[in-house]
Amino acid sequence: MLNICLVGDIIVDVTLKNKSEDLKMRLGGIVHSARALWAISSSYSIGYISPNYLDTRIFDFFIYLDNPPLVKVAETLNAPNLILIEEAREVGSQGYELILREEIKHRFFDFKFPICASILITSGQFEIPSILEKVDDTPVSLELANMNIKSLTDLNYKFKNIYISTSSEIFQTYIKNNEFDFKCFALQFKEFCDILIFKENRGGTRLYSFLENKTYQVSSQTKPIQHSVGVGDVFNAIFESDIFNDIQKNLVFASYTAMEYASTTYPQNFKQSVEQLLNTPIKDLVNLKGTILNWEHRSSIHIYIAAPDFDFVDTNLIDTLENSLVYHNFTPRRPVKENGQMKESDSPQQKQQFYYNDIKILNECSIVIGVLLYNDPGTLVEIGIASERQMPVLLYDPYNIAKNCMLTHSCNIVTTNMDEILSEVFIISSKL
Amino acid sequence: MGSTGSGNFTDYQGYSGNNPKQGGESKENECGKAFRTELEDVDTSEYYNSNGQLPDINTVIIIGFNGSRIVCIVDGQEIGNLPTRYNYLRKCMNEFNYSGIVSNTTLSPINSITINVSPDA
Repeated sequence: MLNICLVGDIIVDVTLKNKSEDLKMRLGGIVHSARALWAISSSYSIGYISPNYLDTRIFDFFIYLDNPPLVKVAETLNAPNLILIEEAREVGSQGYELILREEIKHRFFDFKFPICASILITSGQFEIPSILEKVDDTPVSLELANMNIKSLTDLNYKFKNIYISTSSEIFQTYIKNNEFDFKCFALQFKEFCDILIFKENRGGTRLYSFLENKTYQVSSQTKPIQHSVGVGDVFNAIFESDIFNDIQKNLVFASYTAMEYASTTYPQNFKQSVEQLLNTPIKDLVNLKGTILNWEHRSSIHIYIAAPDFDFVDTNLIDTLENSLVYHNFTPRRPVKENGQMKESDSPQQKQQFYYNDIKILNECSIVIGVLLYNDPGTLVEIGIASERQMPVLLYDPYNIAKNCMLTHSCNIVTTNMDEILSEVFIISSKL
Repeated sequence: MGSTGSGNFTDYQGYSGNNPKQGGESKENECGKAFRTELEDVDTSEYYNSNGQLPDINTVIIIGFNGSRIVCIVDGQEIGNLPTRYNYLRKCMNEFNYSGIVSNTTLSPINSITINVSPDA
């Protein structure tokens, strides 16, 4: 297991209060990665960037995370290093709001890295060259987060591992301009790293090793989650620690640890779960398959949204569901939006045409999501048709109104939680 | 209008506040939870293939791991796989055994089995 130095921002993550959950305030940024290394009882150190007001809290806090060596790399000026998080779970874009982002400046210190076997930088608003110039011959890895390809190129540096996810700016820009092919995508990074790790949310992770010219892949472990804040950082830290000295096993263990991190916000419970994983033979975890759904395979999965999608109804939740599915590269279909809205005064022929057109869309879909804003007859009939055809039907019931057994038992799941709907879409799609 | 405050950092072991939703540890333990689930791959299971029928309701089941899936077992034969969201049970099996009953079966429109499971005390 490598002794890693985690370098980057320490941030205050504030997950805003909503209807069902209290406000939660935690130290975030590289602290997420630190919790992962603490959970596997690895030696590690911290090179952190923060405003001075957090220093005492950071020192006090790390006593509970095995008291690693702490070095302050830079001071954050003009901003509190505070992120407001609208949505704890990554249903769609999570609405991260870094307060005073445009104002942020940094004052770098004349620091020395603690002795370590590898440095993992999680990029932020700070100047990465000011850190790289202090590195001796220790290998450095980089989480790209929101960097663009130009700033990576400008670094002119060969990293050990580069971590990137489907929500990163580089990936989002790439898919706007290119048909996605993993190997072509990976090849852009050939000059910049030995290994590229591409995290595909609930669809698993792919890795390209330029040393072996080989692709590795691992499934994601998906279960209902509490949050997805910092889950990618946990994945990175575990992989970076090289805990099993084997790429495939490291990926698998990182995937399980990330799942455990998403399942709780209580650090002690997280550590206990990780210790249980460590007590499980790694070959069992490797063989226990979860969900693999490559980004490029998702757009062919058409999903029928059965809902009262009418101009006299508040369709915000339908919009959110559609946006979330698009965010994960699925193809949601909204029949009323595509075929138009029937008027009561329409002729029987016109109404029949609406019916046929909607059924035609249903025929093109492989999953139905019902959105039960109220007991809309159209929604209920569409669920019935899909169920009788043995199509997977997921019922999003935000107001908890589905009581009738003919309805609830026509559906694979009934839930008030959109995140569960998304997880099921990934799981079902991976089996289609 | 005045402001409200959001207290302090609480998510570490040793936090001495009295809000159960804060602190380093929750007493909730997912390994200790009972659950109910439908099984997958019932038609291709060892049990259905050798018996040509589904087990009766109230048949006693145990949960096992067959090397690649978490499975439900009756009399030494697998009757179906648990959905992958229960993969976490593998790590729990280091400490817990799980058993229960077949709580429901259907033959139409497809063969299905629902089980109730709880950790053995």
